[in-house]
This record gives sequence, structure tokens and C-alpha cells, in this order.
Amino acid sequence: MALVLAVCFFGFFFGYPVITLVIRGLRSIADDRPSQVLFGSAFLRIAWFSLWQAVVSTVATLIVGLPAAFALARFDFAGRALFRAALVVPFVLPTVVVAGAFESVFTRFGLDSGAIVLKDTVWAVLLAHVFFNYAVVVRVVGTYWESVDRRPAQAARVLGASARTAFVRITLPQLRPALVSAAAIVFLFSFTSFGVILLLGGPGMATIETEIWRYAVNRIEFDVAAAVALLQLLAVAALITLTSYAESKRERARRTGTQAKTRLTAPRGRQWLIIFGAVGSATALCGIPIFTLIERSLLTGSGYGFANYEALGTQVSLLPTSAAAALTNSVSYALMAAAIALVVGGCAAWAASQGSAGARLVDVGLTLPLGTSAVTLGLGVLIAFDRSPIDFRSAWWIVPVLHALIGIPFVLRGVLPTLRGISPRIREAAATLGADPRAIRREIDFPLATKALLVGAAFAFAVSLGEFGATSFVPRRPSTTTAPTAIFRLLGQPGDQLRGQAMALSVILMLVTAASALVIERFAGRDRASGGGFL
Amino acid sequence: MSSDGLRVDGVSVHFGATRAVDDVSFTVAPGETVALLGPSGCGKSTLLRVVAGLERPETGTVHWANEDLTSAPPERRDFGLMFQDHALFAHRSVAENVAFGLKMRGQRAAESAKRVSEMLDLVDLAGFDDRSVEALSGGEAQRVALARALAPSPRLLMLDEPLGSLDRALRDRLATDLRSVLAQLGQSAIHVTHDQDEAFTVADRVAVMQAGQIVRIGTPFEIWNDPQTAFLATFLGHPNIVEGSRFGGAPGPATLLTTALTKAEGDEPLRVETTVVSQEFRGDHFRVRVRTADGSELVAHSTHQHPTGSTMTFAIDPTGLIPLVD
Repeated sequence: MALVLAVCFFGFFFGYPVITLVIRGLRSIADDRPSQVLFGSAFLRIAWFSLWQAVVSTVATLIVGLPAAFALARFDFAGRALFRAALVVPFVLPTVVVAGAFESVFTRFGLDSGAIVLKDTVWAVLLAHVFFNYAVVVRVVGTYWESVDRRPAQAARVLGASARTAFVRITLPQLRPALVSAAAIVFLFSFTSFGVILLLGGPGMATIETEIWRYAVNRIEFDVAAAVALLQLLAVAALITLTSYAESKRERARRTGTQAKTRLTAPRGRQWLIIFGAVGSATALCGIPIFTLIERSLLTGSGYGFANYEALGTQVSLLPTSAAAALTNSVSYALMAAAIALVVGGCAAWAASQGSAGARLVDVGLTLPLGTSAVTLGLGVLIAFDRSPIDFRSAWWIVPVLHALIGIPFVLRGVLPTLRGISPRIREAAATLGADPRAIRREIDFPLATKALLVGAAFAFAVSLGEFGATSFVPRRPSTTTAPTAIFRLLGQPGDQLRGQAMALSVILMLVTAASALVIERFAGRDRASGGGFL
Repeated sequence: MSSDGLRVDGVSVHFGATRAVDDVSFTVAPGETVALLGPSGCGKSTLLRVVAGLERPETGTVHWANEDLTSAPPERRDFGLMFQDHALFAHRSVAENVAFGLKMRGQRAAESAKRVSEMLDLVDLAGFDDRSVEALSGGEAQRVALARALAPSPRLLMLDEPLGSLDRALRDRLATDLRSVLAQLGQSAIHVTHDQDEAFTVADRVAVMQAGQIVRIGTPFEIWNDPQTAFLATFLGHPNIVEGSRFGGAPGPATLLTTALTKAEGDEPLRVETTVVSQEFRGDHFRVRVRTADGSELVAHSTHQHPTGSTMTFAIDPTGLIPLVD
């Protein structure tokens, strides 16, 4: 029953559009125009850029994140809990907000022209990718590191290895599953990054992702867009398979329980340097853009004030509705998306945890939207639901449904490990005490998964609030305009007045998202559920 | 054939090619405690899971009185099971854990409250009601698990290595406590353990398992004093497996109890001269390993220390020489 619901929802709103997209792509790939594009040297350069920027982003994030992961895994220092909790905020911040924040930094500190130019360069993109994915590395690797058995490394030291050798030969291999897993997630996010490239890369920059959007939305060449999307889909599917493999290893390692919970130690001497360096750089990386954004949003023609905020209520010709109305849309769609993700994701997780033959399929199947980039999903919906009786393209509710599809993996990946982690002994104990399978679900499975469900729903809410890629494919109307699409339009225009409004709207969106991140932290605490299974 | 209590008949369970349980039959009378004793991997836990309904046997039946339970799901059997790792519900308090079985039988919290506090009294945990089960010590968790299994008054209580994870001293005390609780309630029970002292303390009868089969069933006294097979004699900790004719018995293998080897006074008819090989201090006695003239070794208990290489002469009590079937 639960499985049927999940499969139907997914089959119709995800499977059907993606299959339509694949068919359209396959059909058109032989045609002149798409094959010209796909095999042209310009596109080859774009594909190459998409790949290397993702690789560089991944390596940079790992390098920046590892010291903090180490600090969190080993040391108990004042502010540790706060630092750990605050990490989740940049991860869930909307891309358009972050892009706006970085831009405000560039203008504020004169990095848009002059000796050092960051605006519209690949450096800006890399910085933003590190900003977003820093938390993934720190949390995935840090949490794993904490539970890694320290005794083998200590044994190596006793046997004569130096601290360095013990780290390289023993600890690093122990961390491998977490490193691979974190790297795969970061790579995936960077490879399918859309808003960041579009807003920070400048007009000259293009990746596979932005090309799909450009062909579909700007040039209305759906055949070409579908062909490009097909390529993207294949690349991502290959990566997801790898990630899923790494994940299963990570889960296994967790379960075979290096449960030797080691105590955190008080830092000494040079160890403080690592902690200060890690926490300081993270605070600078995240704090400077956020505070500049706030400052810029308050800047008006005549000193500081709330004029930009007050202007949000009035409609500007650029948008089909006022910015305030877009924000209202965003919040209500996010609530709906979270509710749908909660129900569908919860059902799917439960079905998958039953360990049937289809369980693994559900597991991988429902994770696909994470990898199926938002842009591909948006394009799929645009071309699949285009004729009656299923002409849903411009129905307002397609927005929360799209967002729910992107949020479901967060629910699933958080709840599934929790359900799978319930020892069979617990269910058996309940059975011998007289609980039938329904009572076991009600009394054992559900209460134990509640926290993870809530965290997953909060993630789905935050993701929906910031969703930009898929939404940008939905035809623009008052009821389909969300805060991120509004910010994108406003940022894209010259003129301080509109930019100021964009900044003000970004700040509000950021506060709402950060609030949901606090809910996540509050419920998740140090649980494995935290981060919807990603962090 | 009908009888009261539990009757297990010809039960077999295979895991692939391994026969975890191989054609096992035994009974538990009402009010009786039977221990399933055997080394780890002998199939005793699997057998327990069959009785609980958590494992379906390939062949054989499980009856309670005249009721065939072989294919009944665990929740319909009205049997209680206490798990080796306790399997407490971490998301519920101590009292909620104990009340769980009552709740599943349709009792409201108000009705079950009295029973819950009785049970907590019984296991010496009065006042622990609202504690989180995660804050309990090993011994406390073990007692909560016992109270939880006992609360619905199951017609049969099964205990799977209930004291396994505890240290020696606590284990001895809790085994005695367990015996008195079971006796007080007149509870039918199966107690699975690999520890012979524990089995002897708790059980009325002991069923010894080896490689999926029950090789011997009887009272602790019977089994100790007549192990019958070399496997059982060794498993019970009888160190001396000897040729009977050499010590005045019938030809064939026999076990010579350590209590049958005493220091010779000079006029006993049966004596053996030995040289001390080594010894271990065991608190209330020394365990002395000696070599006889023909080179075979014996183990004897002594209250004194004996230098290695010194000679010792033992008198042999013929009643302590028990013939074995091979």
C-alpha cells in the first residue's frame, strides 16, 4: 500500500517526464540541429568545463573542509556545538541568495573591477561551491571520523610509526568510505550546479546545465535541450551508481560498528591552531557574504534604511507579481512540498526498509531526482505535461510537486537508515510480547523514525524555499513566481533600486531558510538522521 | 499423546547445508525450568527461536498442551522471550517497556500500572518507572528485560543467555535471584546458556546440546555424576578421562572425578604414584597436574602447594570412577 502510493506518485511526476525527455532526446539526437550542437566544438568545451570545475570544486572543498572535520571529530572546544549546528545553514541557503551575497561582496569590496576581479569569473563559482558544500565534507567526514576506532592508529604508533605515518597509513584509509561518499556528493552538486553558474559566472560562462536551460527557455529549441539533458542524465546516473555503492559501504562500516565511541579531548598547543584556522576560515567564508548581503539590503540612495524592504510590496514591471506575493507563494509551496515529501518519502522509506527484492530499487529510484538535476526535471515536466488532459505546465501546483520530488530524497535518506538501523531483536521482542505486525509498525517503527521524518520534512521545506532550477522552467505567472525566481529576475537587471529589492528579498528568504535549518538541528541533534542522510 | 506444558517434537532447522537444529524433541512441564546448555553455535538459540515462533522449523512440531503452535506467529503464542542483548525499547521509559506486553493485550495504562509496579518490585527496581532505559547499567537492563517478559504472565518464559554479558560475581547473584523469581511465580521456563554453573543453578532439568542435537537431558545431579559420554564429561569440566581398568574399574573409557583423588594415607587398596608437573592456584584450592608412571596425566585438587617434580601418592575412591559410553 505504502509502496503503491510512492511508486504511483513517483512514476507519474518523475518517471513519466524523465522517460518522455529520454525518448525526445533519443529521437532528436540523430537530427541535424541537435547533433550539430552536441558534437560541436563549442559544446565540447562546455562539457569539459562542467567536468573540471566540478572536480576542482570537490578537491577544494575537501581541502578546506578536512581540518574542520578533524577538529570536530577529535576536540572538545568552546563553541563546538554551535559551530557544528551553524554548518547546516550555508548548505540549505538558496542558491540565488548566495549568489546575491557573493555579488554584494564583489561590489562592496571593489572586486568587480580593478586589480583583482572575482565577479563573473570561475573563481566566484568555485568559492560559491565551496561555500555550499563545506558542510557536506565537515559533517560527513567529521561524524564518521568521530566513530573511527583510534586503536589501530595507536597500535601503529606503539609499533614505531610517526604521527604522520600513522595518519597516512592507518587513519586516512579508515576514513576512505566517508571521503569517497562526501566527494561524490560534492561532485554531484557542483556538476549539476545551475543558479551559481548563471548568476556568478557572468554571461560568458556555460555548463551542460545552463545550456539545457538556455536552449529550452531562451531559444525554445526543445529538441536540442532534450538531447543535452539526455547526456547530462547519463553522466549523473553513472555517478549516482558510484555514490550509492560508496554509501552502502559507509552504512556497512557504520553497522559493523566501530562503535568504540572515543572521547573528545581538550585541545592543546598547536591543536588550537587547527581549530582556530578551521573555525575562523569557515566563519569568514560564510559570514562575510551574509553580512555584506544584509548591509547592502539596508543601503538606500540616502544612507541606511528599510526602503528596499518597504518596496517589496509594490509590483515592479519586471515581475508578474510583487516580491512580497512571490515570498508568500514560496512559503506556502514549501509547506506543501514538505508535506508531500513527508508522506511519499515516509511511505517509500518504510517500503524499502522491509527488505523485499524491490527495496534496493526503491532506494536508488527515489534518490535519482537528487542527481537528476533540477533543470532536467524542469525540462521533463515542461515537455511531458504539455497537452490535455495532462497539460499541467502552467498549473500552480506543479511547483510544489516539483519541489517535493527534489525534497523526497532528503526524507528517504534520513528515514531509511533509521528504519534499517532498528535491530531486528527489537521487533522480535515486541512480537513475543504480543505485538502483531501492525502494532510493531505503530509502536516501534513509527516512533523511532519520527525525528528523522521531521528532519527530512524540514529539509524538504528548506530545499523548496530555495529551489530555482526546476522552477525556472515553469511558465512565468503570478501564481508560479517564487521568491528565488523573483530574486533572479531582479538581480539580472541593472539599477540599484531593483538590486536593493533583490537583496532585501534575499535577506528575508535567508532568515526563513535559516529558521528551518534551526528546526533541523534542534530535532536532529547529533543523530545520524541529521542532514537528511547527506550531512 | 497429550501432555500439559510444552512439547517439542522432531524439530529440525537447516541454514543452507548446516543443520542448526537436528531432530530435537523435549518437553517442559508446567512450573518447570529446563536449561538448554551447550557451547556457542550448538543450535540452542535457534531452537529457542523456533519455540518462540521467530524461526519456522523445516520438520517437527511445537505444542502447548494440545494446541499445535508450529505455524502460529510469535504474538499469538503467549510465550515470553528475554533476549541476550535485552532488546529494550530505547524510545520508551522503564515502566513503558514493562507495560508493553500488557498494552498489546488491550490493557489501558491505568490498569497495567499496578502490574508494572509489582513486576518492578519483583526485580528490585521499584521507583525506576520513569527512568530512560538508556541510562541503566547492564544488571538493571537485564532485570527490566526480565520484568517486561514476565509482566503479561506468559505461559512459558524463554531466556536467551540472559546473564551472558555480565561479570562473574553479578552473574552468580542474578542466577540465584532468577531461580527464586521463577519458583515464586511457578513459571515454566526455558533457559539457554553456555555456562554450566548457571544452568545448574537455575534449572530443574538440563538438556545438553551438541551440534544441533540434544545429547543428554536430566537433572543437574544426574548429569554431573553420570556424564555418560566423553564430550559431556569434558564439557562439564571433568578433566580426567581415563582407561577404567587401570583404576580398578571395568575396561573402557571412564571419567575419574577430581574428588575421587585424595592424598594417600598408606593403607588404601587402590593407589597411584605420580610426579607433579605443574599447578595453578584457584583460590580455595590448588589445581595440580601430575604424571603417572605410564606417562598419562591427571588433574587433582589439593589444599597445599606442591613443588614441581615432587612425588604425590593418591588414594582412589572407586565410586568416583564413572564409566563412559564411547
